[in-house]
Amino acid sequence: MSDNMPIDDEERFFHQLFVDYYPSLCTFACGYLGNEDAAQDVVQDVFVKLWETRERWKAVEDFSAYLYQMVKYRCFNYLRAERLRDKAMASFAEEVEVTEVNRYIEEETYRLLRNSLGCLPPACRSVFELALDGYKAREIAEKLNIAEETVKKQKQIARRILKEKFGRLSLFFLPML
Amino acid sequence: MAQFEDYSHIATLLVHAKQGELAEEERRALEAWRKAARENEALYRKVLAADFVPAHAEMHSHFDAEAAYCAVRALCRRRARRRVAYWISGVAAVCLLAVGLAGYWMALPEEQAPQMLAEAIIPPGEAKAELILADGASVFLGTGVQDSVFEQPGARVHTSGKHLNYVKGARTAEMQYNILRIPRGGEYTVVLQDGTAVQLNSASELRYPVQFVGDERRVYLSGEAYFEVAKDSRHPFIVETGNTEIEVLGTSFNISAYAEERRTETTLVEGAVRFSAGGGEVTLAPGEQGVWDAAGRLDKREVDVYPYIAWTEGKFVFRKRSLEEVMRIVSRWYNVDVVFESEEPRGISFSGNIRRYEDFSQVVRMLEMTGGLEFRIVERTIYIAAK
Repeated sequence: MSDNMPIDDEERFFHQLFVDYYPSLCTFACGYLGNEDAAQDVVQDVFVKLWETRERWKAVEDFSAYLYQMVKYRCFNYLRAERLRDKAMASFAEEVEVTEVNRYIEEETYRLLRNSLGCLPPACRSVFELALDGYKAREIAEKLNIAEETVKKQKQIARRILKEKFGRLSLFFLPML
Repeated sequence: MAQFEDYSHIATLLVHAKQGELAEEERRALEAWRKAARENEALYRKVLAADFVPAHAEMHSHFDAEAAYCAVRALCRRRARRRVAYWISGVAAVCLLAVGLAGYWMALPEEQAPQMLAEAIIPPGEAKAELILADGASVFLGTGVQDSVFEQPGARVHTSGKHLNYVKGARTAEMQYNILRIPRGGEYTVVLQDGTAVQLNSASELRYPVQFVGDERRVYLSGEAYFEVAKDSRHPFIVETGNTEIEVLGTSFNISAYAEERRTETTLVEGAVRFSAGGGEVTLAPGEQGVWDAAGRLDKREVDVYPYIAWTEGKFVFRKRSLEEVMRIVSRWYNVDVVFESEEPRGISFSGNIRRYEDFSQVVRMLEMTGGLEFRIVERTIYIAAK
């Protein structure tokens, strides 16, 4: 990130980051809090903090991990404030650490998958979305009322575009591009 | 304590696995990770399972990011203002003169609502078109209009609320033309006799033969349209706009050729097209855009395609567009007039996404976030001034 980001670039970056991560972070926070409203409050708090400390953005190497980390600490603080922390920590202690990391990986995987769909042309995308939902080429052809050959072709196109796109781009900084 | 960033590459590997695009070394790395813990293997299976995407999409649908963003920005602004107020009141303690000023600041309302004089809701555009037949008769099409089927020389025409479909009939020797005219605040899709689908944006017009005859398929466009051209290598498909020509063999692309924009942009999604104007020509590859500008320059550049075709999916996606351009685009869809009361706002650079099917107040809310702007709506005219 540049040292002197003009204010409207800051806003734009903030907005893109927000829209890109908000649902994923809420889902992640829900895993700690078990409550969607509380999760949204926590995530919104995190973004307010993020905005107010924007002079520190240039020091952040991996915004994705940074955001998840911030949400995690906020969730702990929230639970402590609710005097539930001890109880919560007890149940967390039974979880191996790997579970927490994996919840982060899971949310990131979905976010990246969703972003990758955004760059596909519409025809391709409907085919690819169904393919990701686990439908076979024949079923997709039936659903969309097109030839099975077309389905295969669209899948190839999707693969090619994704390959071109993600060969070049760093997945974690998609919102910045 | 595990650091999330140490695992971010695993998400990338899982995405590639899900897309069926794992390179050999990636597959090895992923395998090592899967073997490292039982939970990892479980997550791998979960990601690859059919319901992974739908289940997450369902969860995400509970969280409205744009609405939350508005709330967060409002909160940030409020907190910033409060800080200014504290600071000023501190100064005021030693400077009597400042007391009045501090009072003024403190008295500022917490959240300034967009300045909308008229409460009337300006609805978004909808499916709407006028079809002018070969004999000059016209038919109105759109949401709420009954579906119909009728004959034109060389094709049978099916109409429905949102699109129009030509089914090839008996061969004709001579070409008969139909014109599809989309008013401001409208959009409509036509499937031509060869299977080519053309989605037309507001304030646009397409003239095309009912049945293509001869060795080329030629149509005439003003305004903006997204083409998905049916493949037929023996009959090139040509789109003519005022002074440019786009020749294709079978592909998807967007053309924006509004007279008021004084430029024609062709953005290629897939396939290949030849874009010619003013005696020159460029060949476009997917992800490239050809531009013919007011000065008569023909140029091509690489672009992110999505902002140019997002309208076909019901979104406005702006990337560093001037407010003036943004307002021209928006005004065609909402059928409103825009008046800039001062000059500075015209050049403000705007990026953001807006859903096309929201009413106009949502657009104003979005634009308000750029700050420093005042929107006044009187009937169907939007007045914009610097605050």
